[in-house]
Amino acid sequence: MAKKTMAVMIQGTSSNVGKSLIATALCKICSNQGFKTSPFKAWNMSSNSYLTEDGIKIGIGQAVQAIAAGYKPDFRINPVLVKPIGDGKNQVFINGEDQGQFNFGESDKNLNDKISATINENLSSLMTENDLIILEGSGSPVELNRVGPDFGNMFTARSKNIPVLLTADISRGGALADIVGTLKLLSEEDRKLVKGLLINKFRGDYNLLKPGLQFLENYTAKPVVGVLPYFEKLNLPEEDRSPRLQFDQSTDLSYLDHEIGKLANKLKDCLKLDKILELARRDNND
Amino acid sequence: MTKTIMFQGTASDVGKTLITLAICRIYNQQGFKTAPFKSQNMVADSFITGEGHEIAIAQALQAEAASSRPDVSMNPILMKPQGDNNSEIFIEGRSVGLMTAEEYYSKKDKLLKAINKSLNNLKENFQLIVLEGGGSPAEVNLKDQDLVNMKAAEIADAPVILIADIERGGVFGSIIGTLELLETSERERVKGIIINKFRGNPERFIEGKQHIEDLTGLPVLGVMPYLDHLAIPDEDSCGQQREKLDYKDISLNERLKNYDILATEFKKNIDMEKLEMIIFN
Repeated sequence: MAKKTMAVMIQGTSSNVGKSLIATALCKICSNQGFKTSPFKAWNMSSNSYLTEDGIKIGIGQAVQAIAAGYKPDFRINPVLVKPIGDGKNQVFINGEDQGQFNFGESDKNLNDKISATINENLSSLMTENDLIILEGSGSPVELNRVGPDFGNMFTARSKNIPVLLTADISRGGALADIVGTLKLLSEEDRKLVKGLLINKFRGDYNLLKPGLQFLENYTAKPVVGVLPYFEKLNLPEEDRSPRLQFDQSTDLSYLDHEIGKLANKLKDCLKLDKILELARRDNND
Repeated sequence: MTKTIMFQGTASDVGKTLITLAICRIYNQQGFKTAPFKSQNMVADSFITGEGHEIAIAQALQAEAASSRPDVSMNPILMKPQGDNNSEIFIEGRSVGLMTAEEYYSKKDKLLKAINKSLNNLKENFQLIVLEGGGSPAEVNLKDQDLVNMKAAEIADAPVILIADIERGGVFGSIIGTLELLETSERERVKGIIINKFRGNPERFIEGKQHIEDLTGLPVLGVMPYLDHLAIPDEDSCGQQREKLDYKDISLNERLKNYDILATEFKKNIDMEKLEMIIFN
């Protein structure tokens, strides 16, 4: 039997919990450990993009993650790019191909079929070429008012039985509730895919947090695989940052190596990497 | 008898302070003698009352919106972070020195006494007390130390409205999780939910609202839009990078005008009949 490609997906209890940075750090750390690593984000809503050498626009976050993994950004790592164009309308690109404008909340059967097939193809082809795929989710996986499949989160995780790490931002408080509530609202099948928890943007007294972590592990029966510190601004391009960023082959991104190195160094000791890699191996996942 | 209502949030910065202010404004306009209350507030700058007591600026502005004189009873405990995990603590408007969190919570009895006394003062002088919580009420690891959320609600015997911020998504998870982690007696205090900071057409959230009501059995009192251009300084929320407004840079007239804009927005988007039933049941 062919060796299974390792994979793990970082999801969040909401936007802006730090999924991108954690995925970037994991790409760097795992690639340093000798794993041939690729990022993947099935669905990206972003105004900021990177033009690959095939002339295909992908989300800027995935371009940075590819650089962190030591590769030139490849269009397959972000099959669906959605650009908000105002007035409740989105423009949808699949592998760079313009699919036209859609009203927010509109679900189109043909478009969905195409998205589903492309996510599957791109991910399968990356899996044949890599040892490890670091996937990033989009927003929260339990937006109950969502119309159509949750391509960015559980749809993709389910399709390849990929273990999910659920991340909460503790800087504003409410992180325990965010995790408990998100897990409760997932279907049983999806909840089983969540194999670990991450607490991000922590600052303050770790001793006060410890009983909270203990509580979470007992209550959810899922291990906390990392508590990550609050960062002052890193010089990394962000998905939702304005003014809009449009990078391409000619953009000098050499400064990124240093920033990514700093990020990876800082996060390395805060992540239970052995545990994350064990989950990513997927052998023990039913 | 004095009525009470409390606004708690699923996290910091969900908009408790401004909603509390709106309620102060609305009921003052209806002729109720109204006072704001936040038992404990962590801020960088303070307001000095006529009696020379230091309280949080947010409670002073809420009092202003209620046409009431800012009073130390509206914010009996003030904490000013001084670095190195130390805060300068003010009890009933007077500094009692620098303390670590541990030292602070060792004085819990004294702090509770100040909270009780302040709430009693307000009850003697006002018809409506509008309480504001702090952070999330569902921090189970910090429950013993709670003085600002369900503990204050219990002392004031106040019904609670839970505010959730939809701006970053995850609103369903945060509401369900918060209610799930409350004790039964605490959950029974929660009588309604407000969704805050909605961008775009609130009509789009009708189904979402229905989901929340079905899941929680609680009414969603309304969906408040994201209010971009309000000239009302919000509380300083630790670490949020955002342009800070200083109330001293805004004239009293301008402030009052903005309180009215906020109150009008609130009345437009919130089911005031349901809210009234909760307050004046």
